Parts: sequence; C-alpha cells; structure tokens
Amino acid sequence: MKQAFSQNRKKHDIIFCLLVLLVPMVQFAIFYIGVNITSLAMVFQKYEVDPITNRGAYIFNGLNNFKDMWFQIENEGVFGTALKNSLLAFVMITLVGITFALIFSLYIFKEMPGAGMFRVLLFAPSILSASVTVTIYRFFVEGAVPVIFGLEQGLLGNAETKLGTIIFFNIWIGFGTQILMYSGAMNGIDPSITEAAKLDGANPFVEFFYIILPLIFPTIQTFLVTGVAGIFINQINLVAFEGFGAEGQYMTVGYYLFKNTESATQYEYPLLATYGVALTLIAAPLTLLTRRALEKFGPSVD
Amino acid sequence: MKKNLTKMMAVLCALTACMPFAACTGATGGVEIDKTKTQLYVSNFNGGVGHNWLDAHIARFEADYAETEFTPGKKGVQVIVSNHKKGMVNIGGSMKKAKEEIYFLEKVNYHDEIAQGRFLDITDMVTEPLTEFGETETIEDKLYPSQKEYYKVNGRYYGLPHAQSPTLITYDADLFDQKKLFMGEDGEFKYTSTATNLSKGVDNVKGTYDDGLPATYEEFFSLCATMKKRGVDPIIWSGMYEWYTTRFAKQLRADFDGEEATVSYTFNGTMSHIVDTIDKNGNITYKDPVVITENNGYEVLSSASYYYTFKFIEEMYNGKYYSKYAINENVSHGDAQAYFLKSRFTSETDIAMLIEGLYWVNEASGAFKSMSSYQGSSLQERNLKVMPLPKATAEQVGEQTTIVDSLNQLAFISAYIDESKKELATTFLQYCTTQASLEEFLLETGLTRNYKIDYSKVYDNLCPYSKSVVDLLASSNYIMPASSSPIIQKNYEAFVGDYEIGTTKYAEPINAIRAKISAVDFFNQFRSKYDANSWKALLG
Repeated sequence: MKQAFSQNRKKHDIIFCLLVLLVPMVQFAIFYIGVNITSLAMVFQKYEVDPITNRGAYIFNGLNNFKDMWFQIENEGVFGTALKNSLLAFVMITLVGITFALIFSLYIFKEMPGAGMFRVLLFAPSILSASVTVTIYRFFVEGAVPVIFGLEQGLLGNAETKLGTIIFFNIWIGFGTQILMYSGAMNGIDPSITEAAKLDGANPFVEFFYIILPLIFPTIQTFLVTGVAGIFINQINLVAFEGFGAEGQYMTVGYYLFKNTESATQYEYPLLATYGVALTLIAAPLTLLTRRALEKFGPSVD
Repeated sequence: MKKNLTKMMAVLCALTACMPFAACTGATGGVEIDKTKTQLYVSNFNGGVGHNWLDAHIARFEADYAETEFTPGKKGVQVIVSNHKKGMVNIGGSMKKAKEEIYFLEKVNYHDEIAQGRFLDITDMVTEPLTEFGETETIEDKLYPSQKEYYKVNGRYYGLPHAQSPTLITYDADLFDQKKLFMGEDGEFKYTSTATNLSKGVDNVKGTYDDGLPATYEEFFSLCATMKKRGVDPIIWSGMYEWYTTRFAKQLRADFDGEEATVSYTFNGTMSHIVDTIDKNGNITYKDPVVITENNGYEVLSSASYYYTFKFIEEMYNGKYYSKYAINENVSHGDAQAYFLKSRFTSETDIAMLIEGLYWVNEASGAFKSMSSYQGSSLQERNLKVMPLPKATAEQVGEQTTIVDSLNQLAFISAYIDESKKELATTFLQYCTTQASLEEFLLETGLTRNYKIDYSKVYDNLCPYSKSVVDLLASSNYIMPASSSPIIQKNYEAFVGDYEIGTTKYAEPINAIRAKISAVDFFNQFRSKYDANSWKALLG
C-alpha cells in the first residue's frame, strides 16, 4: 500500500514537472530549433516574386548564395572591416579585459586598501542596463572629457577615437562579472596552500603564476572559450551607442549581421542566413580547438 | 524538502519562460467593448504625427455612422486604436493573428510586404469616386503621378500614402527679421521680411512665400557667413543622429534631379546630368543624356546631384556653419529641437535654422510647453517656417522643388481581415482620405498628408509653420524612394536605406567630410561602388 502510494506520487511529480517544463521546451523548439532549421534551409534558397500574382516564394538555389556572399565580401569592403573590428574587439575585450580583471581580482583577493570600494565600483555597471551605462558613459566622454582636456570634440564625436572609446567601454563593463568570478575562485583556494608557498619563500609573483593562476584557470578558460565562441556575434554594444546607424568603419560582424537582418527584405534573408552558417562553420571548430588547446597547454596545478 | 525545492524551481522556470507573454496586452488596450456596435481595430504608429488626428477622425466617423449597420443586428461603429512605436518589422510577422485591421505605419517596404500577401487589395476603394462623402474625385485623383506609379503594382493598389516626412530646414523668421537676414534684390542680407525690395527666392517669382530667402547654395552659404558675423549660429541638427543631415542631403539630391530622381529607384528612364569627368576643383563634363535600364543602373550613381549634395555638406561642415551642439554626440533630436527653440529666449547663442523632419513640431511639444513662461514662445505665436530648398546652380532657380519621402509611411488594410469587416474597413480608410479629414489632419498635426489637394479653406486658420508647409508642398513635385525592381529589393539598404547616398565605409556623407575627404573624392568613391561587371553580378 505504502509502496503503491509512493509510486503514484512519483508519477504525479514527473507529470507535474513535465507540464511545467512544457512551455520553455516549446519555446526552445520554436525559437531555437525551428529558427535554425529555417535558417539552414534558406542557405540553399532564393526568393522570387511572381509578377502576375505579386506573391513571393522561396525556391531552391543550390550553392549560389555562397557565391553571392563571396562576391559581396570582395566588393563591399565593409565585411572585411567588420571582421577586423571583431578580431580587434576580441583581443582587447577578452584578452586585455581578462588580464586587467585578474589584476583587479588579485587586488581585491589580497584585501589591499580600498578593495571593497573597488569591488563595488567595478561591479556596479554590470547591474545596470546597457542603455543606462551607455548614456552615463556617453555624457562622460562627450561632456566631461572635452572640458577636462580642452578638446574641441568628444571622444565619440571624433572619428579617430570613436572605436577605441567604444572598445574601452566594453572592457570596463566586462570587469564586473569577471572580477566576481575570479575573486570568488580565488577565495575558494585553500589558505594553507598559499601559506605553505609563502613559508617556502614564494614571492607574490610566484604565488600568482604558480599557485593562484593554475587553481582558477578553469574559470579563465570558461571566459576565453565563450569569448572565442562569441567573436562573430559580439556587437560591442554598438546598438546602444549608435542604434542602427553605425558607420561601416566601426561595425563588427555581429553588428553587421544584426543590422542587416533588422532591415532585410525577403530577398536578402537567404544571403544573411548563408553568412550565419558560414561563420558558424568557422566559429564552432575554432571554439572546440581553443578549448582543447587550453586544456592541453594551460597552466596545471601539478 | 529537496522535492519541494525542485517543484518550486520548475514553477519558477515556467513562469520565467512565460514572462514574454506578459507584454501582450490585447488589442483593446483596456477599452470596454460595446457589443451593440461593430468594432474596427486600428494600429497607429504614434511617432511624429501622434494620434490626435486619428482620434478626431474617429470621433466624426463614429458620429456619422452611428445609425449604420455594418454587421447585421449591430448599429454603429466603435473604433479601437492601438498606439505604439513599432515598425512594420515588428508587426508584420504577427499580423495574421492580430486583431488590428487598419494600419498607419512608417518604414514599410511596400513591395516586399505585398509579395508576402499581408496587404488587402484595395483597388476598388481607391478608384471609385468618393460620392458617399459628397466628393466627386477618387482617392487616385488625389495622388501625385509618382505615387500612382509606386502604389499601383501590376494594376492593383494595396496601400495609400500616410504622413509627409521629408527632412528639411526650418528657420526662425523672427530671428531673421531681428537680425535683418532677408536678402534684397541687391544681393545683400540686410532686410526684414516686410521690405519691398526682397530677392525673388527659389521660385524666381516676386511676391511669393520665399521672397528674400536664398535661391542657390552659394546664397545659402553667404547667408550662413552673414549669420556668423552677426553672432548667430546658422544651423543645428542632432549630434547623436547624424543621419538627419543625410536625410536632408537626400532631399537636396532629389531636388537637383527633379522628376529624374525617380529613375534611381526604378532603373527605367533617362537621366540628363550623368557626370563623365570631374576634376579636383569640381568642374564637370556631362555625358549625353543616358537611358537607364536595369542593365546599366549603376550609371545613376554618377548623377551630378550627388556631387552637389556632397559639396553642400562639405561647405556646411568645413565652413563651421553649425552650432556646437550639432557635433556633440550627447545631443539627441529632441535636444536639438529644444536648443533651437530656446536659443532666442536665453543667453545662449541664437540658432537660426534646424535640420529636421517636417513632423518635428509635434515631437517638440514638450519643449514648447517648457517655454510657456517666455512670452510669444508657442508654436502658434512663433514665426517658424520651412525653408524652400536652395538650388545647386543659378540655372536651376525657378524650377519646381522636388520632395522625396524619407520614412515610407503607409496606410493599409490587413489581408487577414475578416470578410464581414471589409466594407467597414474600406469605408473608414476612404473617410480618412476625404477633403474634410485631410484638412482635419493638417489642423491637428500642422502637417499635410501625402495627397495633392487644395488646402485654401483652412489656410487662414493655420500657424505660420503649417502655412509654410502648405506653401512649399503645394508648389512641389513629389517622388517615392523605392520600387518593385528586384535589384532594389535585393539590395534595399544600398539603394533605399542607409547607403543610398553613402558608401559602405561612410553611410553618412558628413562623416566622410569630417574625415577630411573632399566632396569630389567622396563623389568618386561613391560612383565607383559599382561598375559594369559588379553590377552584372548584382543582377544575378
């Protein structure tokens, strides 16, 4: 009797959980699986309008979209610039960002003077929405900086400093989460390990590179891998800065695709889908390779 | 405990997943449905022209049709409006399930949407005389020739023009008077608007609305130089959104080409100002008139209109004929409007002109309200006026002004409308296009809708700004910046959107000028975007 009741309850629990999970599963099926299947199909299609009925339809187009994509890359020039900006943004935001985040995290971990204040100051932008932080930052670089340094124009208004100013914003805004994760990982290190290292005569440099870094490396690895995976989708907050009006010279691949998809006609979707698939074919193996390389060559606790 | 926690987490996950649905408020927007009447649902882009005009139309329509049975057993109509700021891109996908039956939107790619079957064929209501409303004309009669060409796709109409949205220059005529900035027959800027010897203006006719205003680019920049000498900042635009200058540049471009400007959207016609060569000083030799087809469409990029437009932007920027706020990325369009309006009442440097969409006076209602403590600062009291576009060359003075739409606004009926509601929807859309409604729209918004009608009956009741809008548009030609040409639809951004008068590196010509690229060099970069070979590839 007790066993039957227990089994019945277990069954009800499973049904309850399945029903509750139904909505997100359907949502995932439609907005992820469905969208990606449609996008994949579009790679091999083109759009044509019947001049008699005025109605359009997608028809098979073989591999011609890849040919058109290559033609556009060769002739338009903006994609090349976007690719260069994406790589620059990756290097600056991920690599430089991680380096500085580690330094700040170590500062906080070591409880140096003002560590608590630094933690709050660096984390604060992460809890505000991008449009708010962009507005504050915009007022600072366009309003305060020209006054402080006696410039004729703000840093965003000046074409020569604009991209750097936007990338700097992205580095700054990225500190919050990274510092929280790194300092959390550092706090998880058994104090006896660092104490023993100190007793063995390890200086702070040795302590950081041979004790702390290997122990928190899985966290760093996560940021590096997600950084590589997101190379082609990172739009470096350009939408918040410029809306859909950013000039070609500041675009990243992520922004280029986002902007073009937003304003695309039915004719243009297949080509954009082709870009998406082609970039996935580059980004996916690159991500796996990065993960493998980091696992193999990254610092080890041993 | 663990199981309860799992359940709670699962419920939380499900609620989170359902959160997007919270945004769906339904089409009634909290309005109580009157079951004794037939409901008509309208979707309205609540931007530059707002919704007061629509509310006024609806009040009259509901009263006029209070006794009419559009549905058996139901007397009268209840129109329910959903005001929003969504574009077609946000609405199109959900139209099938939406309650809305009539739409007034902006940024609609008309031909692309027709191909998707989202618009009802309204040919009959467009071509039948509006006798039900006491008029003899059809809606088609009220359209400009280029509008007929644009809206009639293979002989069928699927949509109608909505609001006017060209980006032009508004000037403060009171400031012009105060600083004596009107031009006389002697070419000097030292007169007020009441002087009897003012220059003839762009239309080259004495005694008309544009007397004393600059007729050519050269005169315009002479005026700007005079303003600077007299301590006035000539022009302001939004430093945050430089594309206001680009939209204005598109107007200059279209005005230079006149009716031929349509050819750059249809690739079907002859263009007479195609540049053969241009030297570094801007001296041009022209080709013989070129017949443009889809096969040589790239030739339109060599129209001299682009060069003269870039030259205008170059002179405006390099001459520093702008307010400091125009190059500040913090200054939104609303800020620019407020700086322009307030400058004459505060200790700030006076600003004489504003580059904005014609609808800006509606957007600036907050700025006008905030100035209520200043005497004579309301829109009705102020002498704000739209400046006619100056011409690139003296030879063009006297030619009709050509205006190009910049926001592709559209009124249409959903193709998914219930059969039983079609009569009501078409009646309402016709009602919105009657003389009385078009006049009401002008009185409510200060702007005209895109129809060729006579506004003389209400002219005297208008504020100076609206009078200048009517004066300018009544004497202008009007063209639509798109077509069903596959080359346009396949490359929409390149030919209609952001890159229309720019390159992929500099979508905004002003940014090329800021990067110290000369107008001649930028023109050469622009016209070499495509050649015969790359165009062939573009054609597919």
